[in-house]
Amino acid sequence: MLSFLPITELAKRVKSRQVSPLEIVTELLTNIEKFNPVLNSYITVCTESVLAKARQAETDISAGRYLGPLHGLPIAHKDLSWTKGVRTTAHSRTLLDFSPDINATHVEHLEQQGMLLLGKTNTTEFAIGDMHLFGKSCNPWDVSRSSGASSGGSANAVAAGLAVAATGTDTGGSTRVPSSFCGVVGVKPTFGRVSRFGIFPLSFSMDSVGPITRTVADAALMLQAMSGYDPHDPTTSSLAVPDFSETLYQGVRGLRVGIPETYFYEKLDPDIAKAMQVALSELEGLGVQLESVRLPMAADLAAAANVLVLSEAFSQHAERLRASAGAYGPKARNRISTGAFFSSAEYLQAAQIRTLWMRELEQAMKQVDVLIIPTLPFTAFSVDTWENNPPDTSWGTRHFNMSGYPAMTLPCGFDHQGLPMGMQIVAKPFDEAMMFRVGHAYEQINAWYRRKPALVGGSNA
Amino acid sequence: MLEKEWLRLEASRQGLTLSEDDLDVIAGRLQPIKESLERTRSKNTEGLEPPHD
Repeated sequence: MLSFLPITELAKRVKSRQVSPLEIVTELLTNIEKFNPVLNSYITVCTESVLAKARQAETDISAGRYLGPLHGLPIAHKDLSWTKGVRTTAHSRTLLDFSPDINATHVEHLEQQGMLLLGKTNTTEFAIGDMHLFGKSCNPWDVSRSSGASSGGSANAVAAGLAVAATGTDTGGSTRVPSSFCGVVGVKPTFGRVSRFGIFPLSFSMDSVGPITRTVADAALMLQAMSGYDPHDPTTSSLAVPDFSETLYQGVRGLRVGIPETYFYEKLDPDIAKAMQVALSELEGLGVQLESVRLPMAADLAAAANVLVLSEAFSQHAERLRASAGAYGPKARNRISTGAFFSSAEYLQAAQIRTLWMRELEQAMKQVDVLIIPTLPFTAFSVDTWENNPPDTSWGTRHFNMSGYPAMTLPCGFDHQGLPMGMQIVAKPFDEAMMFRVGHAYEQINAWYRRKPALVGGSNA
Repeated sequence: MLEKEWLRLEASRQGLTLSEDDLDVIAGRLQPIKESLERTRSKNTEGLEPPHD
Protein backbone atom coordinates (compact mmCIF):
# COMPACT_ATOMS: atom_id res chain seq x y z
CA MET A 1 0.00 0.00 0.00
CA LEU A 2 1.73 3.16 -1.19
CA SER A 3 -0.72 5.36 0.69
CA PHE A 4 0.65 4.24 4.07
CA LEU A 5 4.33 4.72 3.28
CA PRO A 6 6.20 7.71 4.71
CA ILE A 7 6.87 10.36 2.07
CA THR A 8 10.62 9.93 2.62
CA GLU A 9 10.21 6.34 1.38
CA LEU A 10 7.90 7.32 -1.46
CA ALA A 11 10.42 9.97 -2.52
CA LYS A 12 13.16 7.35 -2.90
CA ARG A 13 10.89 5.15 -5.00
CA VAL A 14 9.73 8.04 -7.16
CA LYS A 15 13.28 9.26 -7.72
CA SER A 16 14.47 5.80 -8.71
CA ARG A 17 11.32 5.40 -10.82
CA GLN A 18 10.22 2.27 -8.98
CA VAL A 19 6.94 4.04 -8.37
CA SER A 20 5.27 6.69 -10.47
CA PRO A 21 3.41 9.71 -9.08
CA LEU A 22 0.40 8.48 -11.04
CA GLU A 23 0.35 5.20 -9.10
CA ILE A 24 0.40 7.05 -5.79
CA VAL A 25 -2.30 9.49 -6.83
CA THR A 26 -4.50 6.75 -8.28
CA GLU A 27 -4.33 4.73 -5.07
CA LEU A 28 -5.17 7.77 -2.96
CA LEU A 29 -8.12 8.69 -5.17
CA THR A 30 -9.42 5.13 -4.81
CA ASN A 31 -9.13 5.37 -1.03
CA ILE A 32 -10.85 8.77 -1.06
CA GLU A 33 -13.72 7.45 -3.13
CA LYS A 34 -14.18 4.54 -0.74
CA PHE A 35 -13.70 6.19 2.64
CA ASN A 36 -14.37 9.91 2.26
CA PRO A 37 -18.15 9.38 2.52
CA VAL A 38 -17.51 7.93 6.00
CA LEU A 39 -14.60 10.07 7.20
CA ASN A 40 -15.48 13.44 5.58
CA SER A 41 -11.80 14.22 5.20
CA TYR A 42 -12.18 16.33 2.08
CA ILE A 43 -14.35 19.26 1.08
CA THR A 44 -12.92 19.34 -2.44
CA VAL A 45 -11.02 16.62 -4.29
CA CYS A 46 -9.03 17.78 -7.33
CA THR A 47 -9.38 14.52 -9.25
CA GLU A 48 -8.81 15.64 -12.82
CA SER A 49 -6.13 18.21 -12.12
CA VAL A 50 -4.10 15.99 -9.81
CA LEU A 51 -4.13 13.14 -12.34
CA ALA A 52 -2.90 15.56 -15.01
CA LYS A 53 -0.22 16.92 -12.71
CA ALA A 54 0.89 13.40 -11.78
CA ARG A 55 1.32 12.52 -15.45
CA GLN A 56 3.32 15.70 -15.98
CA ALA A 57 5.51 14.97 -12.94
CA GLU A 58 6.15 11.49 -14.27
CA THR A 59 7.20 12.92 -17.62
CA ASP A 60 9.47 15.50 -15.98
CA ILE A 61 11.14 13.03 -13.64
CA SER A 62 11.68 10.56 -16.49
CA ALA A 63 13.26 13.37 -18.49
CA GLY A 64 15.69 14.14 -15.65
CA ARG A 65 13.90 17.26 -14.45
CA TYR A 66 13.71 16.06 -10.85
CA LEU A 67 12.96 18.87 -8.41
CA GLY A 68 13.77 17.06 -5.16
CA PRO A 69 12.26 14.71 -2.63
CA LEU A 70 8.76 16.21 -2.68
CA HIS A 71 8.47 16.06 -6.47
CA GLY A 72 5.48 14.06 -7.64
CA LEU A 73 4.03 13.55 -4.16
CA PRO A 74 0.41 14.54 -3.51
CA ILE A 75 -0.48 17.03 -0.79
CA ALA A 76 -3.79 17.84 0.90
CA HIS A 77 -4.25 21.38 2.19
CA LYS A 78 -6.67 22.43 4.87
CA ASP A 79 -9.50 24.36 3.26
CA LEU A 80 -8.40 27.48 5.08
CA SER A 81 -5.37 27.89 2.79
CA TRP A 82 -5.78 29.72 -0.49
CA THR A 83 -5.23 27.55 -3.53
CA LYS A 84 -5.08 29.21 -6.91
CA GLY A 85 -8.10 28.36 -9.04
CA VAL A 86 -9.38 25.83 -6.50
CA ARG A 87 -12.39 26.55 -4.29
CA THR A 88 -11.36 27.62 -0.78
CA THR A 89 -14.35 27.67 1.53
CA ALA A 90 -13.05 27.73 5.13
CA HIS A 91 -16.16 25.54 5.58
CA SER A 92 -18.27 28.71 5.50
CA ARG A 93 -21.39 29.61 3.61
CA THR A 94 -19.85 33.07 3.16
CA LEU A 95 -17.15 31.59 0.90
CA LEU A 96 -18.83 28.75 -0.95
CA ASP A 97 -17.88 30.13 -4.35
CA PHE A 98 -14.53 31.65 -3.46
CA SER A 99 -11.72 30.62 -5.77
CA PRO A 100 -8.50 32.55 -5.04
CA ASP A 101 -6.32 34.04 -7.77
CA ILE A 102 -3.16 33.14 -5.87
CA ASN A 103 -1.74 30.44 -3.66
CA ALA A 104 -1.01 30.90 0.02
CA THR A 105 2.76 31.19 0.41
CA HIS A 106 3.17 27.74 1.99
CA VAL A 107 1.04 26.21 -0.77
CA GLU A 108 3.20 27.95 -3.35
CA HIS A 109 6.41 26.75 -1.69
CA LEU A 110 5.27 23.13 -1.72
CA GLU A 111 4.08 23.44 -5.32
CA GLN A 112 7.46 24.82 -6.35
CA GLN A 113 9.03 21.72 -4.83
CA GLY A 114 6.80 19.62 -7.09
CA MET A 115 4.01 18.59 -4.73
CA LEU A 116 0.64 17.95 -6.37
CA LEU A 117 -2.57 19.38 -4.94
CA LEU A 118 -4.81 16.39 -4.17
CA GLY A 119 -7.60 18.25 -2.44
CA LYS A 120 -8.83 20.57 0.29
CA THR A 121 -9.48 19.06 3.68
CA ASN A 122 -12.31 19.57 6.08
CA THR A 123 -12.06 22.19 8.80
CA THR A 124 -14.39 23.72 11.32
CA GLU A 125 -15.82 26.98 9.97
CA PHE A 126 -13.01 29.54 9.93
CA ALA A 127 -11.16 27.16 12.30
CA ILE A 128 -13.45 28.14 15.17
CA GLY A 129 -17.01 27.06 14.35
CA ASP A 130 -18.41 23.67 13.50
CA MET A 131 -18.56 21.43 10.43
CA HIS A 132 -22.15 22.10 9.40
CA LEU A 133 -21.95 22.11 5.58
CA PHE A 134 -19.73 19.28 4.42
CA GLY A 135 -20.16 16.67 7.14
CA LYS A 136 -18.10 16.15 10.26
CA SER A 137 -14.65 14.66 9.87
CA CYS A 138 -14.53 11.66 12.17
CA ASN A 139 -11.84 9.47 13.64
CA PRO A 140 -10.64 6.54 11.52
CA TRP A 141 -9.80 4.55 14.67
CA ASP A 142 -13.46 4.75 15.75
CA VAL A 143 -15.81 6.62 13.48
CA SER A 144 -18.17 7.48 16.34
CA ARG A 145 -15.40 9.66 17.73
CA SER A 146 -14.09 13.06 16.77
CA SER A 147 -10.99 13.53 14.66
CA GLY A 148 -10.33 16.71 16.63
CA ALA A 149 -10.45 20.22 15.32
CA SER A 150 -9.92 22.31 13.45
CA SER A 151 -7.54 20.42 11.11
CA GLY A 152 -9.50 17.18 11.59
CA GLY A 153 -9.82 16.54 7.86
CA SER A 154 -6.07 16.73 7.31
CA ALA A 155 -5.26 14.50 10.27
CA ASN A 156 -7.84 11.83 9.55
CA ALA A 157 -6.88 11.80 5.86
CA VAL A 158 -3.25 11.02 6.67
CA ALA A 159 -4.19 8.48 9.36
CA ALA A 160 -6.55 6.60 7.03
CA GLY A 161 -4.40 6.64 3.91
CA LEU A 162 -6.47 9.27 2.10
CA ALA A 163 -3.38 11.49 1.93
CA VAL A 164 0.34 10.86 2.37
CA ALA A 165 0.90 14.35 3.76
CA ALA A 166 -1.21 17.37 4.61
CA THR A 167 -1.09 20.81 6.13
CA GLY A 168 -2.99 22.16 9.10
CA THR A 169 -3.29 25.44 10.93
CA ASP A 170 -2.84 25.79 14.66
CA THR A 171 -3.99 28.70 16.83
CA GLY A 172 -4.48 26.86 20.12
CA GLY A 173 -3.63 23.31 19.10
CA SER A 174 -5.60 22.78 15.89
CA THR A 175 -2.82 20.87 14.15
CA ARG A 176 -1.53 18.99 17.19
CA VAL A 177 -4.87 17.99 18.74
CA PRO A 178 -6.34 16.25 15.66
CA SER A 179 -2.93 14.72 14.93
CA SER A 180 -2.85 13.28 18.44
CA PHE A 181 -6.46 12.02 18.21
CA CYS A 182 -5.75 10.36 14.87
CA GLY A 183 -2.26 8.98 15.60
CA VAL A 184 -0.12 11.05 13.23
CA VAL A 185 2.62 13.66 13.52
CA GLY A 186 1.56 17.32 13.66
CA VAL A 187 3.83 20.36 13.85
CA LYS A 188 3.30 23.91 15.06
CA PRO A 189 6.47 25.71 13.98
CA THR A 190 8.04 28.70 15.70
CA PHE A 191 6.02 31.89 15.20
CA GLY A 192 7.65 33.53 12.19
CA ARG A 193 9.10 30.37 10.68
CA VAL A 194 6.33 29.81 8.11
CA SER A 195 4.39 32.52 6.34
CA ARG A 196 0.67 32.80 7.11
CA PHE A 197 0.01 34.80 3.95
CA GLY A 198 -3.01 33.35 2.17
CA ILE A 199 -4.54 31.64 5.18
CA PHE A 200 -7.87 32.92 6.50
CA PRO A 201 -6.70 34.50 9.74
CA LEU A 202 -8.12 33.71 13.13
CA SER A 203 -5.58 35.22 15.50
CA PHE A 204 -2.83 37.44 14.16
CA SER A 205 -0.56 36.79 17.14
CA MET A 206 -1.11 33.04 17.46
CA ASP A 207 -1.94 31.50 14.07
CA SER A 208 0.53 29.09 12.53
CA VAL A 209 0.60 26.55 9.73
CA GLY A 210 2.52 23.29 9.72
CA PRO A 211 2.75 19.78 8.32
CA ILE A 212 0.68 16.75 9.29
CA THR A 213 2.49 13.56 8.32
CA ARG A 214 3.02 9.92 9.11
CA THR A 215 6.57 10.25 10.49
CA VAL A 216 8.84 12.83 12.07
CA ALA A 217 11.24 12.67 9.11
CA ASP A 218 8.32 13.44 6.79
CA ALA A 219 7.42 16.46 8.91
CA ALA A 220 11.01 17.70 8.83
CA LEU A 221 11.10 17.39 5.06
CA MET A 222 7.85 19.25 4.59
CA LEU A 223 8.56 21.99 7.10
CA GLN A 224 11.84 22.61 5.29
CA ALA A 225 9.96 23.42 2.11
CA MET A 226 7.29 25.49 3.84
CA SER A 227 9.64 27.73 5.85
CA GLY A 228 11.33 31.03 5.15
CA TYR A 229 10.95 34.76 4.98
CA ASP A 230 7.98 36.11 3.05
CA PRO A 231 7.65 39.81 2.24
CA HIS A 232 3.86 39.31 2.27
CA ASP A 233 3.90 38.30 5.92
CA PRO A 234 5.66 40.86 8.13
CA THR A 235 5.85 38.38 11.00
CA THR A 236 8.11 35.95 9.14
CA SER A 237 11.72 35.74 10.19
CA SER A 238 14.66 36.36 7.91
CA LEU A 239 16.74 33.81 9.82
CA ALA A 240 18.23 31.15 7.59
CA VAL A 241 16.30 27.87 7.65
CA PRO A 242 18.60 25.04 8.72
CA ASP A 243 18.47 21.60 7.13
CA PHE A 244 16.04 19.87 9.49
CA SER A 245 16.72 16.42 8.04
CA GLU A 246 20.51 16.69 8.47
CA THR A 247 20.45 16.42 12.26
CA LEU A 248 17.71 13.79 12.53
CA TYR A 249 20.13 10.92 13.07
CA GLN A 250 22.43 12.56 15.62
CA GLY A 251 20.81 10.68 18.49
CA VAL A 252 19.83 12.10 21.85
CA ARG A 253 22.62 11.04 24.21
CA GLY A 254 23.35 13.84 26.65
CA LEU A 255 20.33 15.94 25.73
CA ARG A 256 18.33 17.41 28.60
CA VAL A 257 14.59 16.84 28.60
CA GLY A 258 12.45 19.07 30.80
CA ILE A 259 9.54 17.53 32.71
CA PRO A 260 7.24 20.17 34.24
CA GLU A 261 6.67 19.62 37.96
CA THR A 262 3.03 20.68 37.83
CA TYR A 263 -0.03 20.75 35.57
CA PHE A 264 1.06 18.84 32.45
CA TYR A 265 1.41 15.48 34.17
CA GLU A 266 -1.65 15.88 36.40
CA LYS A 267 -5.13 14.44 35.85
CA LEU A 268 -4.12 12.27 32.89
CA ASP A 269 -6.06 9.25 31.69
CA PRO A 270 -4.23 6.32 33.29
CA ASP A 271 -3.23 4.87 29.89
CA ILE A 272 -1.69 8.21 28.88
CA ALA A 273 0.15 8.54 32.19
CA LYS A 274 1.58 5.07 31.69
CA ALA A 275 2.49 5.67 28.03
CA MET A 276 4.33 8.87 28.97
CA GLN A 277 6.19 7.10 31.75
CA VAL A 278 7.27 4.36 29.32
CA ALA A 279 8.27 6.88 26.64
CA LEU A 280 10.39 8.90 29.07
CA SER A 281 12.02 5.75 30.36
CA GLU A 282 12.84 4.67 26.81
CA LEU A 283 14.33 8.07 26.04
CA GLU A 284 16.41 7.80 29.20
CA GLY A 285 17.59 4.47 27.83
CA LEU A 286 18.76 6.33 24.73
CA GLY A 287 20.81 8.65 26.91
CA VAL A 288 18.71 11.72 27.64
CA GLN A 289 18.72 13.29 31.08
CA LEU A 290 15.34 14.10 32.56
CA GLU A 291 15.17 17.32 34.54
CA SER A 292 12.32 18.84 36.50
CA VAL A 293 11.31 22.32 35.43
CA ARG A 294 8.98 24.78 37.10
CA LEU A 295 6.13 26.22 35.05
CA PRO A 296 3.56 27.28 37.66
CA MET A 297 1.72 29.62 35.28
CA ALA A 298 0.85 26.79 32.91
CA ALA A 299 -2.48 26.24 34.67
CA ASP A 300 -3.46 29.89 34.40
CA LEU A 301 -3.45 30.60 30.68
CA ALA A 302 -6.87 29.55 29.39
CA ALA A 303 -8.69 32.84 30.00
CA ALA A 304 -5.88 34.98 28.61
CA ALA A 305 -5.65 32.78 25.51
CA ASN A 306 -9.40 33.07 24.99
CA VAL A 307 -9.35 36.85 25.30
CA LEU A 308 -6.46 37.15 22.84
CA VAL A 309 -7.83 34.71 20.26
CA LEU A 310 -11.45 35.86 20.40
CA SER A 311 -10.56 39.57 20.32
CA GLU A 312 -8.22 39.04 17.38
CA ALA A 313 -10.73 36.80 15.60
CA PHE A 314 -13.38 39.50 15.94
CA SER A 315 -10.99 42.13 14.64
CA GLN A 316 -10.41 39.98 11.55
CA HIS A 317 -14.07 39.15 11.00
CA ALA A 318 -15.80 42.36 12.13
CA GLU A 319 -16.56 43.69 8.67
CA ARG A 320 -17.79 40.36 7.31
CA LEU A 321 -19.89 39.75 10.43
CA ARG A 322 -21.53 43.17 10.17
CA ALA A 323 -22.36 42.51 6.54
CA SER A 324 -23.52 38.91 6.78
CA ALA A 325 -23.72 37.54 10.30
CA GLY A 326 -26.57 35.27 9.25
CA ALA A 327 -24.38 33.48 6.75
CA TYR A 328 -22.10 32.23 9.51
CA GLY A 329 -22.94 29.00 11.29
CA PRO A 330 -24.17 29.68 14.85
CA LYS A 331 -21.03 28.38 16.55
CA ALA A 332 -18.61 30.48 14.48
CA ARG A 333 -20.86 33.54 14.76
CA ASN A 334 -21.19 33.26 18.53
CA ARG A 335 -17.58 32.50 19.23
CA ILE A 336 -16.18 35.20 16.99
CA SER A 337 -18.75 37.76 18.17
CA THR A 338 -17.74 37.08 21.77
CA GLY A 339 -14.53 38.94 20.95
CA ALA A 340 -16.54 42.14 20.44
CA PHE A 341 -17.32 42.32 24.15
CA PHE A 342 -13.85 42.40 25.66
CA SER A 343 -12.44 45.79 26.54
CA SER A 344 -9.05 47.00 25.41
CA ALA A 345 -8.01 46.83 29.08
CA GLU A 346 -8.90 43.13 29.16
CA TYR A 347 -6.96 42.50 25.96
CA LEU A 348 -3.93 44.20 27.48
CA GLN A 349 -4.30 42.25 30.72
CA ALA A 350 -4.28 39.06 28.67
CA ALA A 351 -1.19 40.29 26.83
CA GLN A 352 0.45 40.94 30.20
CA ILE A 353 -0.22 37.35 31.28
CA ARG A 354 1.27 36.17 28.01
CA THR A 355 4.43 38.23 28.65
CA LEU A 356 4.81 36.74 32.12
CA TRP A 357 4.29 33.23 30.76
CA MET A 358 6.90 33.78 28.07
CA ARG A 359 9.40 34.89 30.68
CA GLU A 360 8.66 31.85 32.83
CA LEU A 361 8.98 29.48 29.87
CA GLU A 362 12.20 31.13 28.72
CA GLN A 363 13.72 30.61 32.17
CA ALA A 364 12.69 26.95 32.23
CA MET A 365 14.01 26.31 28.74
CA LYS A 366 17.46 27.63 29.75
CA GLN A 367 17.84 24.42 31.77
CA VAL A 368 16.91 21.98 29.00
CA ASP A 369 16.96 21.26 25.28
CA VAL A 370 13.30 20.29 24.97
CA LEU A 371 10.20 19.82 27.08
CA ILE A 372 8.22 16.61 26.78
CA ILE A 373 4.58 16.56 27.85
CA PRO A 374 1.40 14.75 26.84
CA THR A 375 -0.40 16.46 23.96
CA LEU A 376 -3.76 15.82 25.62
CA PRO A 377 -4.85 14.28 28.92
CA PHE A 378 -7.45 12.11 27.12
CA THR A 379 -7.91 10.27 23.82
CA ALA A 380 -10.55 11.03 21.18
CA PHE A 381 -14.06 11.48 22.53
CA SER A 382 -17.39 11.12 20.73
CA VAL A 383 -18.52 13.41 17.93
CA ASP A 384 -21.55 14.30 20.09
CA THR A 385 -19.34 15.40 22.95
CA TRP A 386 -17.35 17.50 20.52
CA GLU A 387 -20.53 19.18 19.32
CA ASN A 388 -22.15 19.79 22.68
CA ASN A 389 -19.75 20.02 25.58
CA PRO A 390 -16.14 19.24 24.72
CA PRO A 391 -13.47 19.18 27.41
CA ASP A 392 -10.59 21.65 27.10
CA THR A 393 -8.71 20.36 24.06
CA SER A 394 -6.13 23.17 24.18
CA TRP A 395 -5.18 21.94 27.66
CA GLY A 396 -1.54 21.28 26.71
CA THR A 397 -1.13 23.15 23.46
CA ARG A 398 -2.22 26.81 23.82
CA HIS A 399 0.89 27.48 25.88
CA PHE A 400 3.10 27.33 22.84
CA ASN A 401 0.86 29.40 20.58
CA MET A 402 0.99 32.06 23.28
CA SER A 403 4.77 31.85 23.50
CA GLY A 404 5.46 31.20 19.82
CA TYR A 405 7.66 28.19 20.63
CA PRO A 406 7.78 25.23 18.20
CA ALA A 407 5.91 22.11 19.30
CA MET A 408 5.18 18.76 17.70
CA THR A 409 2.92 15.88 18.60
CA LEU A 410 3.79 12.33 17.67
CA PRO A 411 2.09 9.05 18.55
CA CYS A 412 3.26 7.40 21.77
CA GLY A 413 0.96 4.38 21.81
CA PHE A 414 -2.67 3.31 21.90
CA ASP A 415 -5.02 3.19 24.88
CA HIS A 416 -7.07 0.17 25.99
CA GLN A 417 -9.78 1.15 23.47
CA GLY A 418 -7.31 1.13 20.59
CA LEU A 419 -7.22 4.92 20.33
CA PRO A 420 -3.98 6.79 19.63
CA MET A 421 -2.19 8.81 22.33
CA GLY A 422 0.11 11.72 21.57
CA MET A 423 3.34 12.99 23.09
CA GLN A 424 4.35 16.62 22.61
CA ILE A 425 7.92 17.82 22.19
CA VAL A 426 8.57 21.54 22.64
CA ALA A 427 11.84 23.20 21.61
CA LYS A 428 13.34 26.66 21.88
CA PRO A 429 12.37 29.26 19.28
CA PHE A 430 13.68 28.40 15.81
CA ASP A 431 15.14 25.12 17.08
CA GLU A 432 12.72 22.80 15.29
CA ALA A 433 15.77 20.71 14.37
CA MET A 434 16.12 19.69 18.04
CA MET A 435 12.42 18.86 18.26
CA PHE A 436 12.66 16.64 15.18
CA ARG A 437 15.87 15.01 16.42
CA VAL A 438 14.29 13.91 19.72
CA GLY A 439 11.06 12.83 18.05
CA HIS A 440 12.89 10.86 15.41
CA ALA A 441 15.02 9.05 18.00
CA TYR A 442 11.86 8.01 19.85
CA GLU A 443 10.17 6.95 16.62
CA GLN A 444 13.10 4.68 15.71
CA ILE A 445 12.29 2.47 18.70
CA ASN A 446 8.51 2.89 18.53
CA ALA A 447 7.23 2.84 14.98
CA TRP A 448 3.59 3.44 15.93
CA TYR A 449 3.04 4.90 12.47
CA ARG A 450 3.08 1.40 11.01
CA ARG A 451 -0.26 0.63 12.62
CA LYS A 452 -3.32 1.20 10.40
CA PRO A 453 -6.93 1.67 11.50
CA ALA A 454 -9.15 -1.43 11.17
CA LEU A 455 -11.53 0.66 9.04
CA VAL A 456 -8.97 0.71 6.23
CA GLY A 457 -7.70 -2.83 6.54
CA GLY A 458 -5.44 -2.56 9.59
CA SER A 459 -5.99 -3.43 13.21
CA ASN A 460 -6.71 -1.24 16.22
CA ALA A 461 -5.24 -3.83 18.58
CA MET B 1 -23.50 38.56 35.77
CA LEU B 2 -23.26 40.56 32.57
CA GLU B 3 -26.49 42.30 31.82
CA LYS B 4 -28.11 41.20 28.61
CA GLU B 5 -29.21 44.75 27.95
CA TRP B 6 -25.58 45.87 27.96
CA LEU B 7 -24.70 43.13 25.45
CA ARG B 8 -27.65 44.10 23.28
CA LEU B 9 -26.66 47.77 23.25
CA GLU B 10 -22.99 47.02 22.70
CA ALA B 11 -23.80 44.69 19.80
CA SER B 12 -25.97 47.38 18.27
CA ARG B 13 -23.29 50.04 18.80
CA GLN B 14 -20.81 47.83 16.94
CA GLY B 15 -23.22 47.15 14.09
CA LEU B 16 -23.68 43.45 14.89
CA THR B 17 -26.96 41.72 14.20
CA LEU B 18 -27.19 39.07 16.90
CA SER B 19 -30.29 37.19 17.99
CA GLU B 20 -31.39 36.78 21.59
CA ASP B 21 -30.15 33.17 21.40
CA ASP B 22 -26.77 34.41 20.19
CA LEU B 23 -26.60 36.89 23.07
CA ASP B 24 -27.49 34.16 25.60
CA VAL B 25 -24.68 31.94 24.33
CA ILE B 26 -22.22 34.83 24.29
CA ALA B 27 -23.17 35.92 27.81
CA GLY B 28 -22.65 32.39 29.07
CA ARG B 29 -19.20 32.23 27.55
CA LEU B 30 -18.08 35.78 28.30
CA GLN B 31 -18.69 35.90 32.03
CA PRO B 32 -16.45 32.98 33.08
CA ILE B 33 -13.63 34.17 30.82
CA LYS B 34 -13.74 37.69 32.27
CA GLU B 35 -13.81 36.36 35.84
CA SER B 36 -11.00 33.91 35.22
CA LEU B 37 -8.89 36.59 33.53
CA GLU B 38 -9.23 38.86 36.53
CA ARG B 39 -8.38 36.02 38.92
CA THR B 40 -5.30 34.84 37.05
CA ARG B 41 -4.06 38.35 36.42
CA SER B 42 -4.29 39.27 40.10
CA LYS B 43 -2.52 36.07 41.08
CA ASN B 44 0.32 36.36 38.58
CA THR B 45 1.00 40.08 38.78
CA GLU B 46 1.04 40.31 42.55
CA GLY B 47 4.08 42.32 43.61
CA LEU B 48 4.92 43.35 40.05
CA GLU B 49 2.98 46.60 40.18
CA PRO B 50 3.25 49.46 42.66
CA PRO B 51 0.32 49.80 45.07
CA HIS B 52 -2.39 52.02 43.65
CA ASP B 53 -3.80 53.23 46.99
